[in-house]
Amino acid sequence: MSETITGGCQCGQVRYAITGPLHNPHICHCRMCQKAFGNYFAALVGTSRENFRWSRRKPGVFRSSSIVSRYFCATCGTPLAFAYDESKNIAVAIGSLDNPAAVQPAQQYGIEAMLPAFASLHTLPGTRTEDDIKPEDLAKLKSLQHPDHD
Amino acid sequence: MCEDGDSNFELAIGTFDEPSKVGPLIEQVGVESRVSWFRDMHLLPEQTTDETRTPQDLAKLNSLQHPDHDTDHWP
Repeated sequence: MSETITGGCQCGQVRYAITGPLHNPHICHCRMCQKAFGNYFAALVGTSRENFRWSRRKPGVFRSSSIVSRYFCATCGTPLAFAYDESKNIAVAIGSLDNPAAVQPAQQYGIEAMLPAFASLHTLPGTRTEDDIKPEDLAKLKSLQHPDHD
Repeated sequence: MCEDGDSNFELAIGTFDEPSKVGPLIEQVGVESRVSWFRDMHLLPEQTTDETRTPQDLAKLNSLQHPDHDTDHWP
């Protein structure tokens, strides 16, 4: 049996556990993934439904089309998963994993909706969070986000 | 997103009806958590949605997503 992979939403109401292999790590630019993630694209990785379980509360569900359900935290709004009704697999949002750095996308889907700025995002100048927050604000800052573990 | 006490309010670009018209983006923040594959993700092999769905699924597919414009009645 492989190691359990865990993840969940920002507030911690919804958590999940995966006890089998991950497959097909990808990013999807389709307009539905853009909308569901509020973002340029969604980063997703698949696993078998039989190796997947919601381990705390159940997520909210939105059927974005007649063949797909999308799962999210109804309390904090984090997008969590995507599944075709007739598929044995479910795909989870890579950013919702406790260790997102462990999964590297290998494919792009939905490129008909790719936004023009996408290919140059990585060229934008970057700063670290602590460099953008005033010292007095940093002193006040207390995270209310669920930690990256059960 | 809105920081307490800040007079500005930030919107998710993907939620705009025409996200391609928002920009240009000028910076990245929070790079301490940037994923390692971010720099090269635009080089990954590409497929359109139509290429990745079976004709049977395409025939059944009926979007339930709100259109990218205001509507008088929904759904």
